[in-house]
Amino acid sequence: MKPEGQDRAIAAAMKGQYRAASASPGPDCADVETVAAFLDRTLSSNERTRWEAHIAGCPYCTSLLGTAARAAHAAPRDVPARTRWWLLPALSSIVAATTTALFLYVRAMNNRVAATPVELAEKSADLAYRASEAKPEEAARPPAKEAAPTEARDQLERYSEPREVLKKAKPEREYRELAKSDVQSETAGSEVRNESASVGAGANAPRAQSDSDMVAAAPASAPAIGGAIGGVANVAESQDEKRASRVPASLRWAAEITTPDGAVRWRVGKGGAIEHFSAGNVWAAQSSGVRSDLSAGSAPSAGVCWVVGRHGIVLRTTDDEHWEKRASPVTIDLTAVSAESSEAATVTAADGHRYATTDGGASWHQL
Amino acid sequence: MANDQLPALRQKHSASIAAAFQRARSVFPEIDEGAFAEALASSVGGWTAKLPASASGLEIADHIRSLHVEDFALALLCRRGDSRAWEKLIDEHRSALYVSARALTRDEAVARELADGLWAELYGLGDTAGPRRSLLEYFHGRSSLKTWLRAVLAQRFIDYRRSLARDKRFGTATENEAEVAAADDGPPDPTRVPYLQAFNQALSASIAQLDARERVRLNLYYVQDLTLKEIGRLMNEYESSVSRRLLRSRKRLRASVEQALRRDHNFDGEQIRLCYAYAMESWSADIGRLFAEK
Repeated sequence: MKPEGQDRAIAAAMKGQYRAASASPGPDCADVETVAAFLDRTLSSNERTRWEAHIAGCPYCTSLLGTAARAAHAAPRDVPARTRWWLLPALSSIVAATTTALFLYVRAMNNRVAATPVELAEKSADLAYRASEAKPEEAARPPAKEAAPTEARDQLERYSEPREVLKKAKPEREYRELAKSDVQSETAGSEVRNESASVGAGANAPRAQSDSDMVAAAPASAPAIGGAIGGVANVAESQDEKRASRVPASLRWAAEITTPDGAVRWRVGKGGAIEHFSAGNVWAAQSSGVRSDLSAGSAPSAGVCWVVGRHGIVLRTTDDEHWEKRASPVTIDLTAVSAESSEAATVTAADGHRYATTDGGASWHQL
Repeated sequence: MANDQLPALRQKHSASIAAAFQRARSVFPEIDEGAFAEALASSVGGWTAKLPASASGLEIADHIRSLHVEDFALALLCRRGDSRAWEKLIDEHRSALYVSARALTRDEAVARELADGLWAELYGLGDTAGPRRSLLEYFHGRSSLKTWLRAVLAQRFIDYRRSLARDKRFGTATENEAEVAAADDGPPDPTRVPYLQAFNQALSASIAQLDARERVRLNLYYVQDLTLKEIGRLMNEYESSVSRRLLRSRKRLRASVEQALRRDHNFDGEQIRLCYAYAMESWSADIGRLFAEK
C-alpha cells in the first residue's frame, strides 16, 4: 500500500478511536475560558505546555479546541457565497469592451504624438540647446502675457498654474535627475503643445492640463531628448507635482511595511485598508477593524506588525493576520511608528510629540 | 481563592488593578472603579484557585497585565445592564457569531438556534428561576471576548452533537437493525477482527510515543479536520511548518506501527498490508455514518 493510503488508514483509525473514546468532559478538562485563552495565545508558557499535554490525550478537549478554532477562524468571507453564474457572460463582455477601448485609446495617443524622425530630431536638438542656455531662475519667472510663444515658455506656461508648485524648488541636482526621467516623456507632448500655441489658443491651465494628460499617456517610444535640461528643470519638477495631483483618489496605499527578513509585507492606506503579502505571492486584504486612514507601520519580527493612522489609531498584529486596536496615546493623527517587539513601540504624533509603550500598546508615556 | 482573601489581593495588587482600570476607562469612561476592581479581583482569585501551585506576586501582576480589560469592562457593564454596552456588544459580535455558527454546521436552522440560544444565555434568560444571571459572568478577560464567545459556541455545538449521538444510540430497534443490515455486506472475514485489534494496539502505542504537540497537531488535522492554516494559527506556527511537521509525524507513525506489528504480532508485509486495508474499510464506514452531518 502506498504511503498516502497508509496515512488515510491511520487517519481513519484515529477518528475511530476518537469516536470510541469518551467525549464527555472530565474533572481535569479545560474550561471554555482556558480554551479561548489557548486560541488567543494568552496562556503563560507553563500553562500552555500543561494544557497541550492534557489536550493531546483528551478526546473532549481536542474536540472543543478544534471546534472552537473552526468557529474562531470563520470570517464573513469564509461563508461560501452563491456563485452568480449569470454574471459571467456580462462580466466577460465588459472586460473585453474595456480592454478594446483602452487599446484604441492608447493607439490614438500614439498616433497623435508621432512625428517624422527628422522633425523629432530637429526639435530635440533645439530643446537641448535652449535648455543648456536657460537659467533656472529665468525658467521659474512667469512669462509675459504679450510675448510670442516659444517652446521653453510654452512648457513653463503649462506649469504656471499653480505657481506655488514652482516655489517648492528642489535643489538643481534633483531637478536634473527629475528632468532626465520626466522630460523624456514630455517631448512628444511638447509637439502638440507647440502646435496648439501656434494656433493662438493661448497657454492656460485647462489646455496645460490636457497637454499634461497627453504627455502622461505618451508612449515610451517617443524619442528622448536626454540630458539635464536646466531650462526645463522646474518644468520637470512641476510635471512631477502635476502627475501626483492627478493620481486617482482610489490610490490607497500610504506605506509598505516589511519584516526584517523580507518574507512578509503589508501595505496600509486609506479607509483603514490593510493588505498582506507573503509566500502566496498575492496581496490579500486583511480586516483592520477601523475606517480611519492609516499612515505608517513597523514590523520588528515575523508575525508582528504595528500600524498607526489618523485620529490616534494604533493597530497591532501578532500573528500576521488578526489586527487588534490598541489604546491611543492621543487623538490627533499619528504619523510614524517604530517597533522593537510585540510589546515595545514608539509612535510620533502630528504635533511632533513621541509616545512609547512597553506593554503592547495598553498604556503609553510621552518621551 | 476564598472571598475573604479578595480584599487582601486587591490591596496587594492595587497598582496593577489601577492600571487595568485606567485602560478600561479609556474605552468606557462611565465604568465604576470600585465595581471594576472588585470584579477583577474576583476573576484573578478564581484563576489562582485553579492553578496547580500558588502564584507569585509577579505572576499575578503579569496575569493582570495580560488581561483583555477592555472586553472585561464591556462584559461587566453588560452584566450591570448598561444599554450602551449591550448595543456595543451586539454591534461588534452578533453577526459574526452567526457566521461562526454557520461555519460549524451547514444547517442554517441549527446555526441560528445555536447563536440565538447563546445570546439568550448572555442576556441571562437561560434560568427561569431566581435572579437573572448572565453567561458573561464567566468571562474573565483571559482571552478576547470575541474568541471566548466562539469557544462557548463551540461547547454548545459539541453538546448538541452529543445529544444527537445519544438519540441515535437509543434509536428504535428497526433503525438499528437497518444500520446493521446496511453495514453487513457478506460473510465475516475471520482475520478481520484480530487484525484490526492488532492495528489499533500498534497505533495507540505509536501515538503515545509522540510528544504532546505532535499528538495535538495530528488530532487537530486528522480528527478535527482543521486546515493547515487553522492549525498554524492555533499552534503559533507557519503553515509550512505545520505541513512539514505533520509529514514527519506521519512517517514516524507509519514506521512505528509497522515495527510494532512485526515485533509484537509477527506480521509479515502482506499481513501488515491487510491491517491497513481493514482499517480503511472499517473505520471509513463508521466515519461515513457518524460524520454524515459534516
